Amino acid sequence: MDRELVERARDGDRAAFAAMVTASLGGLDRLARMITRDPERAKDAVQETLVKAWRDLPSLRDADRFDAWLRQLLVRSAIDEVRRGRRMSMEVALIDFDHPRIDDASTFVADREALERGFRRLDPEQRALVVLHYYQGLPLAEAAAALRMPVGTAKSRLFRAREALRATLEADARTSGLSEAAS
Amino acid sequence: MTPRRDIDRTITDWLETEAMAVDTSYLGETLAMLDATPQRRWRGRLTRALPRVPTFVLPPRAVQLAIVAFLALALAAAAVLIGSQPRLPAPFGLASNGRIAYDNGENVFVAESDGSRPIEIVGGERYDFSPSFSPDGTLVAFWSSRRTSREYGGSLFVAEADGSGEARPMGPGTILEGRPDMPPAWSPDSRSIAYPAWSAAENDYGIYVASVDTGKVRNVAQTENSSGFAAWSPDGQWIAYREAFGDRTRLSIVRPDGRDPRELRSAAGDVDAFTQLAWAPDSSALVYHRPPEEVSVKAAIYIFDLANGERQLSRRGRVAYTPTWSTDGTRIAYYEEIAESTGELHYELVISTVDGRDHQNLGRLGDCVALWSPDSRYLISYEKGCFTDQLVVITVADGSVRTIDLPGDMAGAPSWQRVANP
Repeated sequence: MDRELVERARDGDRAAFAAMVTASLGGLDRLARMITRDPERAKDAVQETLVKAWRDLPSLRDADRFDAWLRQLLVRSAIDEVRRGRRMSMEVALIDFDHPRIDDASTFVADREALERGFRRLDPEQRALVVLHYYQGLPLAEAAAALRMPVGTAKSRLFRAREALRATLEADARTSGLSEAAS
Repeated sequence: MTPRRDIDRTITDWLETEAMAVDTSYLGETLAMLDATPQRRWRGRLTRALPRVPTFVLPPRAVQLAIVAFLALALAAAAVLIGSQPRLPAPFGLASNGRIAYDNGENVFVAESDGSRPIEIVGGERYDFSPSFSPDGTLVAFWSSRRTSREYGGSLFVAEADGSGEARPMGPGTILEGRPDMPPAWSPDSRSIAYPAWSAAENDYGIYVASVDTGKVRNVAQTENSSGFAAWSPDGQWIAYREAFGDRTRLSIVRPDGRDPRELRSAAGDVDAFTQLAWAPDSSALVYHRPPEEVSVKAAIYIFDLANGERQLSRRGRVAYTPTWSTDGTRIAYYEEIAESTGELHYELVISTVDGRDHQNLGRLGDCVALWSPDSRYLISYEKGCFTDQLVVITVADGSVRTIDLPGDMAGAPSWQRVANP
């Protein structure tokens, strides 16, 4: 985010903050959806985050770190939204059949469905760790910092999240192998 | 089957496709909401925290002398007692290096310090994790849970470090569930363990202390939520704990019986402050990381001296995380963020003297956190990325590195057993 824009917003310039919101809304919504797996909860998390950010912006000393600060606020809000669990809406996953990275498309689609199921079973902090580490590319120390936990704890939780996702994939692979053998 | 080494790539690929779904149609609604929101006024410096409990103040000099005399007598008595049990190390300070405990996310193992001869420590539930040796090296505490991914589903177990006998649950008959994988904090006499937990019976979060001998559990401090994290002072006098409350996070100490709670420090926001908390071996101070500014996302290392208050240890303007105090009390290891010319960031291991005057960069050794060996000659850390079947052992004197191959990927942080000097 542009430093000058952040400093103007910090000084109470609503237009500057509106410009920042316009620029960052897509990314925030994307990140919140990945953690909550629910568009309505994602929207609530994003709006709560932006309200907090606007309200507390005057106390942010290091304007250069606005983006990371905003991301931390969003992660906390998204976790809270998952915990509240006030709605149980199911988002139909968009399937990109032309996705170029995987050669075997049918395997990848099956993996995606399994990963979706496995991911939904993770606790909200594990979800956030998976997204921050594997999608945002944060080192584990920074992911732990975003979630306010010791690195060892973050490591343990992320490890178990990863193992849970792998177990789901492997269970699916076994099931599909049995089905193919039966037919 | 998804090969072990492909799982990271598979998860990343999946998340990248998931990132395609996005909705910005509520921009106008959000801006209208923000229009109705006032900005908060600047709340002042960090030091103007509003304490809920009395701020720590040293007692009068006569009382200090009495405490010192008492401690000296207690130490002498402890030395005599320990001298009569030659197989056990002193409750704190330097000791010889024993075996290493670790978990693979499912089972706890204790192996020789080169990774050989692993034995499994069996708990009471399906998944065992986060082992921690007692200071005398004879016991291992760890979490055990039926579930892999629920936040509050674990119970604390204690087992003999050599794997003999059955693991014993702490708090049998109660509905006390801990926050699995938060490291349990041993008392220096190895007879009690402090840990953050939630009690269904009391419907309350707090810091609890379990007696290893009786299995009974008692609450010593209440916390407003699940953010607790405890560390027992080596002299046994205090339990330090972290707590998020309202829009602040604070570091407090309390007596092991729940008396005399005192706030040492607080930070604005539910921030990454005081999560990596370690006592000096002489119990005179605590080291931790916290944001240097009122609201910030990056951390610096600070020492809180119980007599003189807080001072910054890491270099000004540098981002630093995860401090650990050497067992001889002279040095602190931590990781420092280094910006490359390309703008990329990496972490380097730094060893600092306790006075903060000398910081030695050891380079890109290990990752995440570096733990001191009981004899203070080595640091144990992880390979890059942290998820690996290799531990990295760094010789402090010359920065040389050797790796320990473990039978499987290691999930959490390892623990190094303290044994008596030969």
